[in-house]
Amino acid sequence: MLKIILRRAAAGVVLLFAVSALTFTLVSLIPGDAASALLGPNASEQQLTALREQLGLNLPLWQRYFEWAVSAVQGDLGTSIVSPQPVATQLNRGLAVSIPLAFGAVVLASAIGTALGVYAATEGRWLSKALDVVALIGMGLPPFWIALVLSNVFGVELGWFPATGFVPFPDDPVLWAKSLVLPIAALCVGGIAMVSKQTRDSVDEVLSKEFVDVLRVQGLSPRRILFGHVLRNAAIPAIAVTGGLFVSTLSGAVLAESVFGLPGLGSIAVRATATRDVPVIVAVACYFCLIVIVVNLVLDAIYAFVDPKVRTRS
Amino acid sequence: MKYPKLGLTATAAVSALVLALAGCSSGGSASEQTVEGRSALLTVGSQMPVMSLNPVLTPVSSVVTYAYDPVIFKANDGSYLPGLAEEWGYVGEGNTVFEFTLREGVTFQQGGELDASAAAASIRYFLDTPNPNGRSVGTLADVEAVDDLTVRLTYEEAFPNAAESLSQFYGMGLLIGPQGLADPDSLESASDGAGQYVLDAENTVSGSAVAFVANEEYFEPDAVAFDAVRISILPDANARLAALKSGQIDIAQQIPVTQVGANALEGFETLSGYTSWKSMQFLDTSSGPLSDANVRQALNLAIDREGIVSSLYSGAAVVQEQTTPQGQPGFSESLVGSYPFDLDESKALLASAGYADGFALKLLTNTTSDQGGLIGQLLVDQLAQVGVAAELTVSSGTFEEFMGEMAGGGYDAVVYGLFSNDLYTMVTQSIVSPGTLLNPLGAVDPRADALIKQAAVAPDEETFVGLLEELNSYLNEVSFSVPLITERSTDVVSDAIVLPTKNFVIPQPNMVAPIPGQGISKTS
Repeated sequence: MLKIILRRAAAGVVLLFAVSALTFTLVSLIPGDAASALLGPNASEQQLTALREQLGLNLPLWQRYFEWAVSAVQGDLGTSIVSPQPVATQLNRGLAVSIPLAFGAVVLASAIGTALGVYAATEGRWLSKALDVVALIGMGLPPFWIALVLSNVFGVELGWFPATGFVPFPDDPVLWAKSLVLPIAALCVGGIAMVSKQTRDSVDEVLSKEFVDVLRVQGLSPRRILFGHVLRNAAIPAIAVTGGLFVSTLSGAVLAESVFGLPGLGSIAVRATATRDVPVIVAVACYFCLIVIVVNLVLDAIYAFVDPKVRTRS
Repeated sequence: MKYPKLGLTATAAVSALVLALAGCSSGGSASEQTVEGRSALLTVGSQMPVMSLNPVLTPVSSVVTYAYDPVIFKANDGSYLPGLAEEWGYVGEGNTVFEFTLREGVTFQQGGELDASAAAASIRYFLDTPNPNGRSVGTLADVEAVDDLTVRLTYEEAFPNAAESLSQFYGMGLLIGPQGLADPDSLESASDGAGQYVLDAENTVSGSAVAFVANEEYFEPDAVAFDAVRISILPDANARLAALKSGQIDIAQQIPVTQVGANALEGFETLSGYTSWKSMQFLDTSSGPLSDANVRQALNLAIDREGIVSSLYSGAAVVQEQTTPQGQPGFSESLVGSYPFDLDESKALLASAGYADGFALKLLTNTTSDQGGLIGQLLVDQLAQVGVAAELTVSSGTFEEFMGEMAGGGYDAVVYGLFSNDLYTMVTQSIVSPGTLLNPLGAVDPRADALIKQAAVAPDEETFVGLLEELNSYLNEVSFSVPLITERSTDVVSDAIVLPTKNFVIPQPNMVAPIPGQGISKTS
């Protein structure tokens, strides 16, 4: 197992370099640069040239990337071109928003989705059919629209939760939790639908296996059959769905951050792209990539824990 | 066989947790008013990301003006009032030497007194640093401290807009103290102006919130209306409106008019300002059909401006038929309605000029000032009704590439949006003067040029404005361009906000002012 994780981690490092190089190149292909974004349309050619030299934008692309990569390997992600602030400081602040948001949404979607899926599989057909319809609606609703509705109903009309904004945990843990409820709810609707449907199908399939009948005949209680045998077997496809769900939640978080005015990684990425702030854009891409790599490693470990065949293979 | 009801249990548990959280109040309490006559907190939702808190580097001066006072304050009605300077004016004739006299006893936030040499140093820093407003302040040859409180600006050529260039809308007038100038990077985390508020670095989060606290050393304490100010950056208009309606902010800036109409906004007030002035500018009128004023007038008559406002802006714009936007010096009420949508008259004028069958016109637009090239496309359709076959090119490259395309000589006209400004600034920086943005081929109109030169050396404000009105009338008469519309921006404010006036000619009302009653305040 350790070998697999080490191999995946090594591949992750290569992937990080590939993503950073690709992002650097792609950003350079977008028309405009930080100098023109900073100086606006009234800038003279002389001013633009002076600022490009000051910011190092006059250097060849490969040289800029090389210098950035050397610093990044040493743990220095550089300084934002737009505001003289370390990129890592900005991104770590964004991470403190995006991570609880994405994890909260995935954990909630997994918990509720799994519970609903199991309930639908074990409690009769009508519920199972209803779940199909609800899941279809849940997966079809855009998170952006859900976020707007939640913000207006629970933030503006009822005033139960803040309609916008984020409060850091150390400042006020209660407000921190309250500021995350609506964004997490908006993000997890699609996930609940996806996980519940997947779980229902998996549990259904496992329940129809012969070994479950054998267990029943042996006199095991329904609780033991469900938790001790069925769920364990049904969990593997659900874990695969959760991995994909995490990646899609991270992407969806960009829109939720916009609607709820959250200063997460998505907002930072959008702002940096508008101002062609290359060090920030590349670092955000690397952060996202790193998160996905870590999540996949964790899922691999969970696979191994749940499925003895994986451990045996490794 | 009965399995445990896991789904119901989990859903009930999550619901209970969420409801419990909804009922929880935070440990903190709302900030209390600390100084008599002030409100505790002003909260503003802004669309624009704050790219820099250095007043010279930022393209959005509205945020830094909380901490940096201007040399001359431009009021909501467009008049110039004392800011850090008590007196100002041109010296001698010709508008090439401008002097201002500073207030006594003003200190910068990081220490150091405001005197003429400190002010001159700040202006020199502006001139030496690439910045977004560098071209809007005239061509300065020298900045010097004449005595302890008097600063003299000497221009290479006549510049009649010195007071404007020292106002809060340009970084040059927002003076920085000596400590800040010694380390300009430090201005991102510690303000060093002479303004009403001091940057609260602890509560400022790059890209999402800027916080200020009252400057207790401010020279006019009665003008300070709040103990603290917090600006939240909320790029999404829905988020700004939701924050306003739920009481999280007092002011939601830059709300599209379409969204104001779509939302129930009882208990809130809307304020409108004019932002971008859109027009079709002729790039070459030296030869061909466009050299004939009758043809240009015919094109002005062929445009359904109301149609552009209703189809593309849903009312969030006003029709514009003259080169000066409404409310700006040079605007003439008598020119309103000067080019009605009249296809018959347009066709008659074209026929009289020898173009009864129309002609071909190469039209350029760009996605920055004409999103998706929609205005350009509408113009193509409208011009076709009088037989003018416009071929549209939508430039989606960089601004420099777009400028190159304009200067390349391959186009007859361009659709462009300019910041709503006074006519002198517009004609000298963007439209008429040879070599400017929309006159890249360097065409010279002798009459317009003469009026600009006269305005540049106008001995007083009244003469200056009179000459701008004359210039505006002339440009309208010869159909120098095809003005189209002026976009409107809208701020929505809670009914607790007290505004000095609802009539303002600047794009957004002043939030702070060095004169009591000129900025905004809040009822308790």
